[in-house]
Amino acid sequence: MSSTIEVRGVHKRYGSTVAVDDLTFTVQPGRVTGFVGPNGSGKSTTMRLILGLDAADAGTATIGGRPFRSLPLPLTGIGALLDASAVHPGRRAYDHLLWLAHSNGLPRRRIREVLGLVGLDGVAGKRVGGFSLGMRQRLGIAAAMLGDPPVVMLDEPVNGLDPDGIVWFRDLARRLAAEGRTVFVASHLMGELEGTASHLIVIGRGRLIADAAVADLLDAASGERLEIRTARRTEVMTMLANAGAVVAATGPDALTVAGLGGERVARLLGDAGLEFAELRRHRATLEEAYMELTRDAVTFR
Amino acid sequence: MIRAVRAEWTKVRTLPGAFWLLAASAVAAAFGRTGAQIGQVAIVALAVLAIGNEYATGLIRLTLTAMPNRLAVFVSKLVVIAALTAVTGTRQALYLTLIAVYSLGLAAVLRDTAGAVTTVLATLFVTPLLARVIDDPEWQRRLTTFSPMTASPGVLAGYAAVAALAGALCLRFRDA
Amino acid sequence: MTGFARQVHAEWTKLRTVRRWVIALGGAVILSVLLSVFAASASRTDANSDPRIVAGPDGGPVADDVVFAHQRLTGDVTVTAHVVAQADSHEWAAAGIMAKDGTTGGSRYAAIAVTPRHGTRLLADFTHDELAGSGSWLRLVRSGPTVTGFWSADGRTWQQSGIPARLPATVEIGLFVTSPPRVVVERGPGSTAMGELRTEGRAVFDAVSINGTTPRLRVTTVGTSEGMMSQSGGTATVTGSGAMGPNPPPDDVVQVSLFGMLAGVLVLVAVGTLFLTSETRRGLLRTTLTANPHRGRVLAAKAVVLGGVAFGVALAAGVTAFAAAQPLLRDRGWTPPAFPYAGLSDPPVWRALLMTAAFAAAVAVFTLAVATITRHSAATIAGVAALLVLPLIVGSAVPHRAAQVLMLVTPAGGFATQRVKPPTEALVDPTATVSGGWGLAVAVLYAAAALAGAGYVLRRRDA
Repeated sequence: MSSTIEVRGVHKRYGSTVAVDDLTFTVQPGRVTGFVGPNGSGKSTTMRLILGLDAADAGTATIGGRPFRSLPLPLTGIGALLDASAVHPGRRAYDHLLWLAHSNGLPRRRIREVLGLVGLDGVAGKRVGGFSLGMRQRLGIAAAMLGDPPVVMLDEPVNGLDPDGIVWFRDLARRLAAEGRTVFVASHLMGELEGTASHLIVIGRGRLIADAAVADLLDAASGERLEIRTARRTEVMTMLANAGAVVAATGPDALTVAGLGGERVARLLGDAGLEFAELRRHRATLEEAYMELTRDAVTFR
Repeated sequence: MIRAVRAEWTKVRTLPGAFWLLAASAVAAAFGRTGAQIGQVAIVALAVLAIGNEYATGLIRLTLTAMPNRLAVFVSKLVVIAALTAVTGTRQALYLTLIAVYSLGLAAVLRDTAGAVTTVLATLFVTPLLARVIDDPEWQRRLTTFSPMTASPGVLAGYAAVAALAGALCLRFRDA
Repeated sequence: MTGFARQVHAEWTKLRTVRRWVIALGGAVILSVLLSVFAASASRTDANSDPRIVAGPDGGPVADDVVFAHQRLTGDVTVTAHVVAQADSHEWAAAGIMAKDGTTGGSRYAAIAVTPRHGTRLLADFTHDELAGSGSWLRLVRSGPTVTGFWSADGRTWQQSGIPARLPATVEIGLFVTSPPRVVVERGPGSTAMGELRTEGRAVFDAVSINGTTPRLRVTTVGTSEGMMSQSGGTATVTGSGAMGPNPPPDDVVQVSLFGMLAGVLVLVAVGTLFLTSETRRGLLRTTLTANPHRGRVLAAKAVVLGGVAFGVALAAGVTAFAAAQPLLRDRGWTPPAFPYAGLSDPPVWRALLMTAAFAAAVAVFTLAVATITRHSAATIAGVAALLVLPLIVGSAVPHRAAQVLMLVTPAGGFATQRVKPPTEALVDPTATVSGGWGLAVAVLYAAAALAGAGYVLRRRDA
């Protein structure tokens, strides 16, 4: 497979602060990989290391097996959006893409194509200084797509997009993955990736916390827990605890149970004559799974 | 390398500010040495902005993502700015071009527009005035010889070379 | 607190909490002092080896070059003389009667003299020079402690006036002639050639009497003067060159010790620019204007804070630079009589320091206003720096009049605040062509005009 992002044992410190600590993961093509972690967890640093903007103290990062700096025409190897506001306000949108095209010998035709892709054809001749954050995000995505790269790496791409824009971006990300590209999207909000990413890389304090399929993560977070809704919460809790379960109240008429199977609980409740309104398997949201994973890793710098 | 030069040329020509700065310096330089001393201010601004603006906006990261060969990026900027200065500088072309290279190098070291413009102009302006204020003939001779504005092209080329080298090394080896 | 005071407080907090700016401001002080110290350590003067500069009665530098035909007398005395003719060798050439405390250069004197263009004058101790009237009949009367000058057009009706001179009991008294040298200044690119052409004064006296008798006069050429006396019949013809009066060298010992302020002011320009553009660039100005919608007031608060900080920084730099540089200058020939010692307690010195600080504040506020209009760091810094420094460079290569105009139409003239001496043609330095007060006024005018423009632009424009 030629178009993976591979990060191997990467370590980076700024002064006395360790930003990335022995990080190893691989981003596979053909799917959208989410890159999540709290603010300051090292996502942007990792992306800068992948792009050779900052030099790693140890370890390697490669794109399709090659270090970024050795790519002859990097825009055709990987398209990246790091910071949408990093544009010169005095330059026109078209010209911004024009110098980028020149830098990699890309044809002007591509500029029109990517402007159409992100829906900015109407403002190609406008100076970027007058753009909203959402328009700058679109321009940044256009710049990333300019070289038609097999790998796309985007840092917080939906930041500033309106609801229509977010829907548009999700479609785009999925489409790019479906075309066989490697799509790597960083976000500090798990919700933004819900329904888009099929694989997640979670980091906290510069360390890898999870590298797994979204489905597996949800299963792990759900565990073998049961949810019960009943008007007789106190009696139910006492009875199940005596039977050896771990019980927790989650609302005035709701509780969760772990340590006993569903059938066993149903039978115990029936035998004791305790009515219940609902008994079902607990299903975690992506947000919950993420909160669980990063609980100890929240840090602010 | 050709591509990098072309990209940097596109960057310069798609900003209206660069045209005005060059025009101002060209008009001033037509008035000879004194004119060039005035016009060099525009050249300093042009050269410093070529680097400083990229750091101010964060554009440098996009530039280095498109062109990972940092030396090529730096040399391209140098070539484009120096060529524009040389073409518009008329009879003062050599002096102005060396000032442009010196400014660009210093801007790459300082990575800050305001700091670089101030430093360049201070080194240009303060030393000749200092040479006038002091009476010690030995120091006066040294200042006149080594102050960028009054130095021989050879000495000025030395400054430009050192600044360019330092700028290239900073760009090459520091995190962007 | 009123709204404006709160706004000023907010802007002050903004300024002092950006570490780079605080470092830059501290750096401005250090840079100013170091550069001043360097300028001082490389500045030597040989003004005291100039024989035309001697110590006057109060120790200050004076010229005492005069051809003096005199005799010694003790006690009360009356001298009368009629100036029959005087050559128009120089508008300030003088011929008349003088009583002097000996013939050593710098000694006290009282005199009455005619001039070719400026009437009959009463003179004393190098600094006193007043127009009496007109009349070529002259008389000097010394009676006890008082000296009185008399003049008359016809030798019969006399007018009189006291002369403030403190003479000892025994004086040399008689006729004198002076004629100042003509100063020729040629300013070329980067250099000024200054020359002095000797002029020769000549006067014919008759009816000369001392205490009613014909005197027996002896000629002394005091200082570097050249001349002689010839007598025939009842007339005496005296020729002489040179001048009597204050003769400070044009170089200014305070200005030399404040040279480094130039670098400090450039740093203030950078900080003043960033104080504004850092807000517009990061969209912070929107936050500021949300917190205080009165835009003019926001600008005024910024100007107050920046101006105040610039004043303080420049004053600290100026005082330190002056104190550090003076001892160095003393070791390098900047000593009396040519250069009387200057101390921080001397009114001209602290006036110069305060005015220099005020100039720095005006420049900082001007920069802030320009930055508000341009919203562009590099353009503002380069433009203001050019406006401040280029006139100093260009002004040294053009004629005196052009240099003066440059100093009066650009804020660069404000650097004249560093001088304590009056304007002079004798220096290459264009700031020597205007007074500090005028220079400061121009800089303040620039700041006020730019501020008004910025206020207008700010109200009209979307943030």
